[in-house]
Amino acid sequence: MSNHKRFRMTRRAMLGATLFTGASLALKGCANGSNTATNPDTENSAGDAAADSATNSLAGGTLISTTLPGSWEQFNRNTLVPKFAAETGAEASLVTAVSADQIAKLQASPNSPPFDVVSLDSGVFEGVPKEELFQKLPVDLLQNYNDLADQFKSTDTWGPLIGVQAVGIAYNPTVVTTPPTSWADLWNDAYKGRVALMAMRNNHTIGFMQQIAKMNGGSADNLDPAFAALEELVPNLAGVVANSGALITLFEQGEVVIAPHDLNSVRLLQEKGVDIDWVLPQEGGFALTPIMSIVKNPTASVELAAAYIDAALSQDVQTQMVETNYVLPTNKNVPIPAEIAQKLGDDLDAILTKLELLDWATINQNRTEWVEQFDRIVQV
Amino acid sequence: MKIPKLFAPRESQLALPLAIFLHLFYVAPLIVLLASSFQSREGGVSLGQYLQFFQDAVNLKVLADTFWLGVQVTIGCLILGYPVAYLYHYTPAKWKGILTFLILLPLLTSSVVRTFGWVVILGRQGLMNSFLQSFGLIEEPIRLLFTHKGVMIAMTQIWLPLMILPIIASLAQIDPRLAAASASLGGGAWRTFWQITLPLTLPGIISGCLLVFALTVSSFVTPSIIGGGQVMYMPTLIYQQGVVLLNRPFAAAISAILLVMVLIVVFAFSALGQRSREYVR
Repeated sequence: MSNHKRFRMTRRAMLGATLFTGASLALKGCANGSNTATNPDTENSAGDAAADSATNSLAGGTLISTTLPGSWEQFNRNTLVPKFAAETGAEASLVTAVSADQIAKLQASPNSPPFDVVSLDSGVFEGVPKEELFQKLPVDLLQNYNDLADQFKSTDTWGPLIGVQAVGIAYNPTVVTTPPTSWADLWNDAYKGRVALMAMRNNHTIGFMQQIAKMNGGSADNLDPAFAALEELVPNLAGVVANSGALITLFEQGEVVIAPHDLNSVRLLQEKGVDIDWVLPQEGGFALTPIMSIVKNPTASVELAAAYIDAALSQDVQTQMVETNYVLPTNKNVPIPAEIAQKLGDDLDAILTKLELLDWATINQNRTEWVEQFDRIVQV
Repeated sequence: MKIPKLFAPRESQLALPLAIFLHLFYVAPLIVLLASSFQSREGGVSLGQYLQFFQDAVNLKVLADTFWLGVQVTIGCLILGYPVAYLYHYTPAKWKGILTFLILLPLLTSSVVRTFGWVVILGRQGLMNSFLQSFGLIEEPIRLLFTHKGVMIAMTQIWLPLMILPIIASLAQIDPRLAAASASLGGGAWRTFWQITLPLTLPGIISGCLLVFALTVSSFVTPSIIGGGQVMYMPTLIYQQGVVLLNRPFAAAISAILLVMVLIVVFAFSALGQRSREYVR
């Protein structure tokens, strides 16, 4: 009898625990799902977009585009999507994913792609079999294409670059009192244990290694001098971080005082009151360039997809992008605001000569080998 | 005549929906995964991916580190979790609710949030270092972030509830008269614990260890944020090869190796579990 009683007790306890755990997981799921829409501005603009599309629903349609997370997502939601809705009367919804995940999702179902337009880092974009997943850009459908700076124009292209993120050296001005001037400053003994790099799978670090290779007699496809230099950098490393988000936390914590990073992330941190500044090294920096492209077999019409990309290239959207996100424009008519001009100069062409556009074709041929070599050197 | 028999209610049929679900969404993808791990660079069938993995010392170190992390976190959770479960069992009923809530609390926050919390705690100017420094226990901050130790500490906290819960369940099954019998026969508190309570809770300990081990070796977020690029574990390696470098067959092979490692541990533990159940009877 006592046996029976004990069994019932346990079952009830088990059921209770299972229910509790299940409910808590469900709650957690809800929290995750809803935190994408917590920004009141976001909700307003989504509401406006919905209202717009309701008024011209005849001309409309629906388009699904990806967006990179963080400040890109905010910008696309608050600026690009409303602009697109106002121009076309169509609705656009955004799927937030990092570049590699966007490709993974496309490759999982190439015949019915989950989105119509992708917006991702060109370093990742160049590494995938483009013929299988994307289509060439119908340049004639884009009114703003001719406003692009000359180096970004091409009649035969998979998609336009929508911005230029300048990568230089980020540092904590309280600890690093003399602003660094060169990439070589990361090797300074004064910063022992206070330097951070992102892992080699991040394009920031690929670009950084390219710069170091070139300073030491290497080239785009010969990183050996950079790996030799990396071995000497190891004692200075506080850590090799997973991604740019983790690097930001380390700067906020004062864990790291100097690291290669992009101007736009640094400016956003400065706005939040983090003690951080940015400098372009004398050897020049490099550019990370987000690209937009239309997928093969899109659900929305190609015209609509082209209109979305066109809106992203337009002067007012790009002006907004420069002012709120500090990403340099690719549209030559966009003025450079004073905060950026003070770091880089006010002429887009002159700025672009100081930022190397990376040779992704060469990089992607060697990427696997380089990532493995990098990991081997930094492993503790 | 046999047809009505087929539709006669049987207990096994109750599991049918789950079985179908698992076959569609778990077994089938797993087979695809295993098949693609035997794909060679040229498209044929080969063991090349596995050879490539085992020929590289870095990969072997990653495998060993992952296994070692699993063992350490499991032992850590057991040492910290058993007393909590024991305390829970002997807590008056009115406090049990509060204690349950406290034990389950970590499961209610996302592991991403908890991981960033640990970054703040483990950093060189973090809680742990400033505490130790203010008491003069250390002079220079200890390096915890981006080390194996740091990952171990954070993972132990994160998976602790999954060790405590099964132990609580098995403590609840013990007949309280056994302890009384032991006492009446002259057994002290320690002897009763070692010879009666602990052996009878072995099934709970074993299932807790299994859960913690399997979840630790397959965790992705915490090891990649706290370990960074300098201490690598199998899930980080899988992500890097599969998603970033688009080297899917190799990623599939690494996944298969991780799966085999977990299965070996699961079988070892279930063999142990069988034994302990025999002991309980």
